[in-house]
Amino acid sequence: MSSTKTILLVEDNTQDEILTLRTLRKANIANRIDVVRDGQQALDYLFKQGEFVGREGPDLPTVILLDISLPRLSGLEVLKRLRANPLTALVPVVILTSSDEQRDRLSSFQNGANSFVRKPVDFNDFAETVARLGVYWLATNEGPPR
Amino acid sequence: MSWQQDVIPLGHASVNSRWQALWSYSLAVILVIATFLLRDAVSVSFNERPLLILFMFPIIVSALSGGFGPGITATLMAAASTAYFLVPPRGSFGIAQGFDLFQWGMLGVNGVLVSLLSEALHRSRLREKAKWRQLDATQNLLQQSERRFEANFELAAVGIAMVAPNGQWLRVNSKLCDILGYRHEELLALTFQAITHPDDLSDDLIQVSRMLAREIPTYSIEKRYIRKDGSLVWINLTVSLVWKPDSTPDYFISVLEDIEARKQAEAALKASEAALKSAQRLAGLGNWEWDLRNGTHQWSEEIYAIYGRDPVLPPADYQEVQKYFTPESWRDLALAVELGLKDGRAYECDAEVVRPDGSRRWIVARGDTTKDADGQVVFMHGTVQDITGRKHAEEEIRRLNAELEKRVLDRTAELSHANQELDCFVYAVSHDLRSPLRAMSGFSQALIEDFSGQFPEEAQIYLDQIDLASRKMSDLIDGLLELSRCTRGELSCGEVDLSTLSDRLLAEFSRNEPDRKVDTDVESGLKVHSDARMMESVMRNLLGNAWKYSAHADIGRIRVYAEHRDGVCRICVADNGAGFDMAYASKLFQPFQRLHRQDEFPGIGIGLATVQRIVHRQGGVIEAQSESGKGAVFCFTLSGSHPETEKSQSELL
Repeated sequence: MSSTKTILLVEDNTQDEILTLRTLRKANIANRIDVVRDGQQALDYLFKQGEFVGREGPDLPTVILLDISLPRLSGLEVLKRLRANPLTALVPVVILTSSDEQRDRLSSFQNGANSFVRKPVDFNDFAETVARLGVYWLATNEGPPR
Repeated sequence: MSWQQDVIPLGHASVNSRWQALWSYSLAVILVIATFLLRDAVSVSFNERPLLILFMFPIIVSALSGGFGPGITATLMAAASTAYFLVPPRGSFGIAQGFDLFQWGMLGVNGVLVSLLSEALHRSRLREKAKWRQLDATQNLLQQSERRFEANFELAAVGIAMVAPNGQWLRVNSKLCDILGYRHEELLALTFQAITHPDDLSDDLIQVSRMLAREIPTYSIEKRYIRKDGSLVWINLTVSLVWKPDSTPDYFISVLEDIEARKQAEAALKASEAALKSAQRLAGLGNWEWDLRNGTHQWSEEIYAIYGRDPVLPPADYQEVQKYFTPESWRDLALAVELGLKDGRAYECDAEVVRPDGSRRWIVARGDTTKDADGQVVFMHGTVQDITGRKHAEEEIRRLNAELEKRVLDRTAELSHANQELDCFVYAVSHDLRSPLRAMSGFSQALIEDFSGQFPEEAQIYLDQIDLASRKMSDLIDGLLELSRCTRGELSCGEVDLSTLSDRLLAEFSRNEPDRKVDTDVESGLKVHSDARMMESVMRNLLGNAWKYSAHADIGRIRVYAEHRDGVCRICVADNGAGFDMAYASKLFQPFQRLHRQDEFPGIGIGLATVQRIVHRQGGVIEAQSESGKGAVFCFTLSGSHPETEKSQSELL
């Protein structure tokens, strides 16, 4: 897979982060995966501000895996800001969350999420889901033109 | 009486007496002629003497029979005829001899005397006759009067009695017997004192003694007598006293009129007046009348009480009465009254009264009018009712309502706050409790995958248990979330096809466990008005249980059907599975209560609790019937109403 394609994982849960990274690795996804741990960090990363001023790698990730419940700024808030800014308005965002609340799903899509995926509790299911997500968004999906 | 002037006159000109007179005069003429002829016949024997004495006979007879007239007629005729024919010189009226003249003269004088005497006798006889006749008539009248009195006495419409001075009844009429309820002879054995009501006796006796003292000629009182049967009868008694010639009292004449009916009517009237007055007082209702022709006003007592007006004053007139009202109330009331005066419209108007002592009352004034033939309002009448209590109650109700509304708002705010918190909690459960579970199962999985060769077998088993426990925990969280969801959120009701839903769910179960042999029988066309998502939850749980608990049967049987009982449609899900002991039925619908061991039938015990909450939320009921080992039937109803109660929220977890 092309190394220009990167994934931004916004996840405050270290265990989930480890398991997600392990799964993607096991699925033979070698792309760069950047991890930030709260909403504000995510925005800083995307807009190359704060601690991420002059960071390496492409300007925007190929896909953002965004948890909803995050410290400081929630995932939905991050999503709103992204969509409000022309620079990031089109970047694919997959909400990856433990919640299966209808209203989370609803507001995710209302705010322009491209996909809503509930983290399966069963680890096998989880692994399969994450692997599929990685393959789909990095390989199958054709992102918006830059 | 006319008979007293009925003196019969002597020249009575009746037809009878006229004939009698004519007869007497004719008799006189005939007798004189007959005597003349007789004298002629016998004169030879007496030397042709005049025999004047013979002529006394017709004179006496005529006088006796006819009185003076016929007597004098016979006398004149005899005198004239004898003087001419018999007394010499014959053929003239002269009389030659003195003896003859004497005799003739004696005849005339005797004739006149006899006539006069006869007349006197005749008259005396007539008088006697008249007297007798008078006596007869008197007697007749007396008898008549007696009979009349008897009839009056007996047949009178009032009781009449003659009473001795000592009170003994002397004579009583039958009406009196009727009134007092005694037989005639029984009454005569009593005194009036004996059957007079004790309370009324002294009044009566006082009057009697005054009459005996000649202070009063008669008296009249109303008193009660005791009838033979012991009942009382009101009597209007009028008494007069008959005195003996020697000025001692002879007897009383008493007239007794039964006034029981009148007394009762009076009592009823009095009672009704008292009732009206009492009703007016109790109702705080007074009535008034206003005669516009002469400007007079009439008020009942209660109006004085309501306005606080001194009862000795006359009713206030239209001008004056306004001082009893607040200016605003008088403005409304006067407007209503003026309209009534103008076109006769009835009115009803609440008004606030200010009494002279400054206290205030609320009244409702009602009025109506009467018009004369010209359509002019001539009379107004109406009521004034004290509604202060009602007004205060109304104000109190308004105040309480306002308070209640505020409380409802407060409570609603509290509730929605609580709901919000609950939502947050559920959110946290759904989101935050999952991640550690996934981590547990994920890392135990990773250990097995990445380091499987390095673990002893026992470690492998432990890791499996960690995995199992985390799955179980995950199921529990899912169940809790479902339970919570079924009582939250809006119900969006529409037609739900339970038959299709059941078929789909059973097909899904069958796909997941293709080895199970289950006969399913779903009645077609089962439709309910409900929320589709909730109904799916209900049917998934009921059918899922039926599926799960019939697993030990050779061929599972699951039936879905409708049942009509007492006009209510029940949806039933029946199976031939393990069933349960009805003794534990009460635990069936409680969360986390299970009637089977995990190793028999795994589960978390949340499904039926969820089903019951959904059914209850839609105003229905759910019942279960079963016997251990003989399957179970779950029937539920959904009432048409869907009370959007959120009360189950508080029971959520």
